Amino acid sequence: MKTFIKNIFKQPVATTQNPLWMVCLRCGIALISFAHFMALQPDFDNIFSAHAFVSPDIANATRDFLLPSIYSIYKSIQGIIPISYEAVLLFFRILYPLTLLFLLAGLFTRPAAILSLALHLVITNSMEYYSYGVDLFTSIALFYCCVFPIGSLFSLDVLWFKKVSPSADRISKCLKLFQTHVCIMYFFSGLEKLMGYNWRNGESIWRMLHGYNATESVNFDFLYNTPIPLLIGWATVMLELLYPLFINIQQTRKWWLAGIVIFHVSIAFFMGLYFFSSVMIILNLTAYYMPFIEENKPVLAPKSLPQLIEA
Amino acid sequence: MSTGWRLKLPAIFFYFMKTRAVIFSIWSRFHIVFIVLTSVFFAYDKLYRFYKVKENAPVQYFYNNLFFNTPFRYYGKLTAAGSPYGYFAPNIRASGLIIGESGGKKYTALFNGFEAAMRFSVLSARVTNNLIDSRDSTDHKLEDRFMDLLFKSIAVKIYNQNKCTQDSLFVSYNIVGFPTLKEYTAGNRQPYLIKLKEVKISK
Repeated sequence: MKTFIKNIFKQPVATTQNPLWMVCLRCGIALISFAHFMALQPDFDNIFSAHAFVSPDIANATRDFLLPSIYSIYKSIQGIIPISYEAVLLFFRILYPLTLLFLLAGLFTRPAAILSLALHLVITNSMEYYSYGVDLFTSIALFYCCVFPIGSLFSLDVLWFKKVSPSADRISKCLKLFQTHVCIMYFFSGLEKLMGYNWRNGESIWRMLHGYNATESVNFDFLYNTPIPLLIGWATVMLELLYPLFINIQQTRKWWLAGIVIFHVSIAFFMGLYFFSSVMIILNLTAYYMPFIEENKPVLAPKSLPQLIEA
Repeated sequence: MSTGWRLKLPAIFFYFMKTRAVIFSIWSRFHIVFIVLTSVFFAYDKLYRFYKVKENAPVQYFYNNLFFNTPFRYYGKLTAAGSPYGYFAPNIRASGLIIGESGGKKYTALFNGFEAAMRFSVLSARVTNNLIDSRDSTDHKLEDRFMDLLFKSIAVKIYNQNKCTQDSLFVSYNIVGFPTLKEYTAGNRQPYLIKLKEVKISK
């Protein structure tokens, strides 16, 4: 029985896990965060400047006081050097995408990851009223970029500074931690949905398709006398709740992964949460797709002349 | 470099690597326990709020006095491990809408990009949710005054953005609702708008 269960949850041994998942995490999250920040640029002043919808001093009053905000940093340094709020804002506006580009290229990877996370946390804390799921999951991904040896593969650090690759065992431990976190996230997300009756009777899907419908041209009214909202509601709950189980079973992994990717693509399409969905898909591919890609069989090294003579 | 040191350096290196591996192992276990405990708390908290169940005193004591202490809260914030994951759970609330009105014309917040518009809808939902939640309580004078300030800040921006020519603008905070499946089946098919609050700003 024990062997049977072990076989079901069989993971490839550390040496055969494809370390490309670290590249996927680093490049994926750096690229999406960069695109996300750029998407905000046309309206940057409407959200952060002194003439924003929620002016910075008001937003600062409700920020999480464990971390600074752009406004609180401005207030702190204003006492030391005369500087305008716009100048501090510009500093963040330039530095954050720059650190993300460094992270993407794998140049000074760890300092770039630490700086990206710090700046991301400060920026998110400065717009507490505007922040949603994508900000949290970006923080999680950036945090793991700080901890894991993500700069040891396909990076400028390797190319220019000859960064040594970590052991397969260490990479495997990092992956296990990351996978566990992703599993916990989905399990609790499913559990919290299951607790409310609206997900069990299809009401949440109905409300989502009408209240949060990003595809205004599509009318979903016809669904009221079909069991579709009910089925999608239950499918969502089950997909998330049973994620830790079925994603770790070798035989069901690709199906569950496909299901969760379709789920996030649907969120992007129907709710317009493009960046949130992209981040979630990257997290999933990093945890359960990239490590299981079989690498090309190694090309045998040509034998040296003495070996050939000996042969 | 002396021969002694040449021999010692690899040993120190391997000792450091081993220690690092042990530290990583211990920390990763702690990190997972931390995430699980945080998630359990948020799930419990949502359940309690949604069904208005009486709080369990020992659970509350554990979380408020022992778990959510300052170092742990810092840890949770910096590692992003101290946040809930159950978005749109246990239910999906009605979305909020902020509308300006002046001289018979309607005004809304203007954006150049989709992402900022999305974030503004998050702001609208937060503000309107706050209005619904605070109806249950009576003693929130400071918070109410702060919210008034927030409403006025948004109203002024909408006024300036739309280059209103009138002397005053009314900005209302509304809930956009859609009939439930049951109501829709029964024939009630019209979406509705419930005005929660209105703010007037004048030149």
